[in-house]
Amino acid sequence: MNNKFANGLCRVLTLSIVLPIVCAIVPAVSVAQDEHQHDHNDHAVKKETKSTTPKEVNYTESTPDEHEEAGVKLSSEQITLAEIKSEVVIAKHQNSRVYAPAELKANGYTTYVVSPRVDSVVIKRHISLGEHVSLNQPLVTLFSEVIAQEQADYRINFAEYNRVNKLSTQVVSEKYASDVKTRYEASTARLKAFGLTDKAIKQLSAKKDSPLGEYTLEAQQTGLVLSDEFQQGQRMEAGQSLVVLADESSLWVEASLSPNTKLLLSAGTEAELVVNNAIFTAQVIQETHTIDPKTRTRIVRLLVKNNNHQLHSGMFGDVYFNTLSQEPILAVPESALMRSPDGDWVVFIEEKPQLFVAKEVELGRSLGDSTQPLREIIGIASGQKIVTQGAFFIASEQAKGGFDPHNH
Amino acid sequence: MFNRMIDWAIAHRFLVLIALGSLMLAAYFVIPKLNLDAFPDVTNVQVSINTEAPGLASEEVEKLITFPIEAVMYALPNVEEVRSISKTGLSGISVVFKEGTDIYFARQLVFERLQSAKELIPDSVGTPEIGPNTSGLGQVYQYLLIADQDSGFNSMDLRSLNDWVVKLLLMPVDGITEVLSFGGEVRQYQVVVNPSKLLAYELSQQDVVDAIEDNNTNVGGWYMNRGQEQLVIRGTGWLSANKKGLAEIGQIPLKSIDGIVVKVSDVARIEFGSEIRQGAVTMSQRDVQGNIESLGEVMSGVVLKRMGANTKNTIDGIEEKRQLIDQALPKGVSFKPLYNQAMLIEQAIKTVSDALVLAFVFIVVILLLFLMDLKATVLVLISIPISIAIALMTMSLLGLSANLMSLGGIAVAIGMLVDGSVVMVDNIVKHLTEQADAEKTVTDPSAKKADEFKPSISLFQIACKEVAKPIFFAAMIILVVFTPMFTFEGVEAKLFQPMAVSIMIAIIASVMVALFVVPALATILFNKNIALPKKSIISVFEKAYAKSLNWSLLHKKWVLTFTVILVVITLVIIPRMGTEFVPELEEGTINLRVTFSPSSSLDTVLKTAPKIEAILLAFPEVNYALSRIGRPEIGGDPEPVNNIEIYIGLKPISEWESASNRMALQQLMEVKLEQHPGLLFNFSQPIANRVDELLSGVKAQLAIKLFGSDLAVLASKGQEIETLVKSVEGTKDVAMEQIVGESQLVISPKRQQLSRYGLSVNDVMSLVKNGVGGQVAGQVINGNERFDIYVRLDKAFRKNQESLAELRLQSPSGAWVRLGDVATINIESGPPQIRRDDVQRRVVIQANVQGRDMGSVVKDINTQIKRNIKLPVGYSVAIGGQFESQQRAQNRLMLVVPVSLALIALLLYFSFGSVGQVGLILLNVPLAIIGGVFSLYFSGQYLSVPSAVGFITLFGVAVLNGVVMVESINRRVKSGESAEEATRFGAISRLRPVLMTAFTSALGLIPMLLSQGIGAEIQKPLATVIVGGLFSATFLTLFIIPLLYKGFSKQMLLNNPS
Repeated sequence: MNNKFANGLCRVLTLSIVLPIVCAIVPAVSVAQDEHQHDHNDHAVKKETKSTTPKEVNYTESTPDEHEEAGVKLSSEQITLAEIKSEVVIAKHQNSRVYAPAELKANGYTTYVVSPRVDSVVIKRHISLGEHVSLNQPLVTLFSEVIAQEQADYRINFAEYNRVNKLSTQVVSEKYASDVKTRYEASTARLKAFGLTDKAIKQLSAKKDSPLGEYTLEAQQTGLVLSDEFQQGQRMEAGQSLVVLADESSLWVEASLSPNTKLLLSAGTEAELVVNNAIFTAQVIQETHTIDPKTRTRIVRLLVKNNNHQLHSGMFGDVYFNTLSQEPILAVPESALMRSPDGDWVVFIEEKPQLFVAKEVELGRSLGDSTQPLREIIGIASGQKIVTQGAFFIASEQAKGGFDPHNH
Repeated sequence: MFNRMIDWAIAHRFLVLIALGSLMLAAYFVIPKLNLDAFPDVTNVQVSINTEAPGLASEEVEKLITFPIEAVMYALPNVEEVRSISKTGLSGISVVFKEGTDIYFARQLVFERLQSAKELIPDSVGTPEIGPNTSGLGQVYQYLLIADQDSGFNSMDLRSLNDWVVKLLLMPVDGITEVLSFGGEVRQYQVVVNPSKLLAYELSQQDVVDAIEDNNTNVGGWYMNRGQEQLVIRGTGWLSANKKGLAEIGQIPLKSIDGIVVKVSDVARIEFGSEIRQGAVTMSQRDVQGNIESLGEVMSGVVLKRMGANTKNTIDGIEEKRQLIDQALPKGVSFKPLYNQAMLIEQAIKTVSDALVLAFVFIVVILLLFLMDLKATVLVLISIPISIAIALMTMSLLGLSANLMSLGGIAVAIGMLVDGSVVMVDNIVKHLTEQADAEKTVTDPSAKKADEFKPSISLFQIACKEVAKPIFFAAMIILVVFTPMFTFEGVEAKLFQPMAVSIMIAIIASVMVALFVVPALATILFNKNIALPKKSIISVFEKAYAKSLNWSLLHKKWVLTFTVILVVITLVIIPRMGTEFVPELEEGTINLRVTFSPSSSLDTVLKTAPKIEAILLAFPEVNYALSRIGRPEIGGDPEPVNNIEIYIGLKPISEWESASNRMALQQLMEVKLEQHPGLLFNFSQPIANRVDELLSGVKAQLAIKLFGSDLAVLASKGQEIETLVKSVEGTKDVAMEQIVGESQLVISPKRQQLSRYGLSVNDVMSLVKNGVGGQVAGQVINGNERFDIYVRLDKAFRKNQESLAELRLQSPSGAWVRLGDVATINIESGPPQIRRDDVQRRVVIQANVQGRDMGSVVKDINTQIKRNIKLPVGYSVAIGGQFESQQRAQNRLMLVVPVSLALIALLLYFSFGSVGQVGLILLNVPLAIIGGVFSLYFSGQYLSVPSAVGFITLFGVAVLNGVVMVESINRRVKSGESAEEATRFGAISRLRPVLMTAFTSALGLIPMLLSQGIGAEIQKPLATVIVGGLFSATFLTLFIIPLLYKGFSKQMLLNNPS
């Protein structure tokens, strides 16, 4: 092979190998350095800006963009997946609840304490605890020497009275007749005062052999025997409670409110009584104006109907006083309230379809009931479409997207 | 010495063969005992200390628990770092020890210190416990307990079955250190107290607790004699189990009022309930028809392997127990394995074994082509299986595990294993050929059958002795090259030292084969009827090489200029090449982390998880999606409830339709997942995820750590840095750890109001802790099972702020005091977790890197932070994670590489005795670098630790070519030839061994280069560098060394005039 040709060929070969290598490297290096894919669908793409300053993150302010307002824009798929719901919230009178522990007691106004009016001995009981008694049903038979004396006196006076009545005024002086009559009436009255009924008194005179001293106390109302703290043969003092009869068709509920609770309760105010998960309606009948010295609470008395006899005296329950606000209030479910990064409370308003904007609010009273607790909000106008479900995810999305540098 | 070795081997050739046979037999029995693992365990030596602090918020946990424990742990010897995390209800501390510390010694040290730490923690706050003895790769097995729909078993039953049946059956398996229950509900005997009734009966919750404890005890009364017997006295007062137990609890008396006994059932409801949960598991899967099936909440178990235990054996042990477990489980409940590291092991081993087999085939082909003789080929090839067998046997005896790296090392070295034998056999064949030609000429020129002759033993001896020393030195060079790798630290040490060990053992074995077995076998194989080698492909190469070598010798300047240009281009490329620590390993499973807002409740996350699973299962590649929400029992990863880790089970990649690789599939998934607002998504892989966290405390590649004392400042500055990092090109999944945003209901006592009623702060705190939070009042014991009796206020009385305010306290005088009147109850934001590193609080901004190399990304981040972030005094930034490892590795490599070269130079000097010739041979190094760098650059790979290891290996292999070449030329010079003749003919005579060693080494790596199997990513840069480097080194060596020989060998030429 010609040397010159070979040399030339080698030079060309060398250059043809080296030059393409150099040409391949330089642009490849440039492309690698300048690579910037601007793809809005790809969250991993970044742009390096030499004069980058970190943007001030201000949750409540939003920098208006030429294409969209500040806020979170979600697609319909996102809204469906996160189960986001918004509804128009209008100010209206709202219910608020105040809680107080309570105890059920027998209705004092329909409770009857059966007690001997004179020292007596219990001969026989006719009822037992928890028994329902009807009017005039015999309860307890007792014996008293005082009663015996009075019964004897009654018989004597009754007999004398009957004898005098049969005599004419010419035989008996008017004064004597009057005395006899008075003594008879006094005996009758004393027996009645000792608790004997008219029937029992009549039987005294009718049955001459009926035992003296025994008498039977009868129920003066229908009711339930709440207590029967006695035993047969026991000597009871006058006034000592034998039987307590209560009409449980209605019961008192004594709720113990904290003295600091500002609640004006007028008679007739309704409240919810919860006993063993059952809910009853009670009405305020009285309110004490003093503080219980032991429990340091304010007692409010309510009346609850007990037609099914589910409730009994001595049970414990929880009372919730419901008061309607005097003025219309804007209230939202607790789930609608979110906290902003700087600690303020916000709700999300759907200003445009699928665009949710956070608005700062102040919190007011707790409203609603256990099934739908609500919270008063102050600071936005009534009638706006507020997110009531799924606000959590909107807030999360906003916190997540607050640092997106693609703000141009 | 070498001569004596050769003489002995040839003289006792049959003994050599018997010894070889015995060794192979021993290997046959020993190798099956080899430990098998997928990857080397790269996690550091660390001991974790966990303390449960029910109900305490992160700040209280930090002050009361974390700090006291940290304070005592710093003083331990060998401690490198102490990291901690304080979150609601849990304190987790990791004490990291220096590499090389024995794990059991470390645990012993921590255990001893823990006793003194416990005294610093207030009573009833929590008791610290040492975590399980496991590592980042410890979660080797995961299973589910599934109940049939009509079986009647609920999540509480499944949890009990796992805790008290399955766990107890699995724990004895060798290698298992812990079995964690994840999901389900822990049964409790719950006493749900009505505070109004407590108030009415003038009782307190403590009265209830005391009464229960007093009514639940067993005692012993020693003995009583009865005649000649003795009776053991027992008082059995434990509460019964199940419904009977509930009834008995209800009957426990609290007090007596006017003769009427008030019982527990009068003030509380007694029922079964679930322990307060911090985690749950849900799952969706594809059924046999391919339809999506949502299983809802499931019960899963996670098996933790003991550190250092054999993974394969441990998993085999679990599988053996399965039958027993199936028998023990009731009808309707089944044990279903879900994740099994054995699959990964098999795939990793397969990757390497496939590469080995293919490499073997390539080598066979090359040897046949070059040697053109079957016996010679076999003689060379036997070095491969023998060397590998000896290497595996040695590894088994030393207790080293066979994993991707150690076996990968053998795959890398397979080509080098034949080098010694190639040189030996080539020289033997050359001498045989020359002898045959000589005898043919002398004996009978006209002999037609002059191809056959009988070689003498001395011929073999001469041939072998000639090359024994170069073979030995060549192997020494390889061994020396790998020695500095033992100075690596951390992750890179654990990754590459096994590889270095396996390569070194294999090389030593191959040298032994070359020096003993090959000479012995050659005398037997080539003893009879050897035919003269026919003209092989080498003769074609030799002719072409001779021509080009002549031309080069005449045009030195062009050749040298061309080479220098290539070197310059290489030097220009190097700084422009990206850097990374180690390429990401493909595990075959995707791990998706979903992060909710820090104030998320478990219920919110539980409701959302199935929706995310449905989105994922819409991809046909996905078989199942298992969502692990929050954390399992103590001992597992302490994740908060706003975090889901979803294991996505995938079909084999060959069956994928939507995408061709994991990254592409992940991108498609991410687009779909963005449909759900308010969530952060981070894709990773199970082991990589865990390893990253154990190494740096962060489950991402980069951890930008901001240190400081004030949480508010850390939060605000951290957010600035997060914004900045997001703007840097190449960053992905940037997220700041959440240190604010946990919603807290803070109850602060009003001391003045309290004192008015005679109440103390403790009264309020006790109500909060025990009433609202609940308290344990003993346990119900039923055989092996133990269930807490938990006393707590009814949920209706603690469901919101208002109901808490309505709770009543009883003063000593009997007053009923509303909590809202003596304490403020407000919702505030607090830190969900507080992390500390070595005393200081810190916040981490984590990021992954994609599309760019890690080194340049970190550089940009550092620049941006210095330019734009103003930090207060006492605050600092450090970048950790994989980057830290990369920096450490780079610094070490800057030392290791020159040391390797220096050691090579030293060896060469011992061999050649000439500085000039050492320099000449070392010219192979830059020649090799050219090819290595080019191949890396044009294949789009980065400079990394594997590629650096590749370069180190390459230097050793490339230098061998020069050694062979220079040795051959020197011999000719010493025999009296002129420099030009010696150069020309010496180079040509060595063409065959040079090409054979280069081809076998390079081709041996081609399968590894092309492999797509599990774990191939780590070996790929290594293989790329060696293949590319060998190509350039071999090609250029064949021309450069002859060109420069004269200039570098003046002393040699002076001493040996022609």
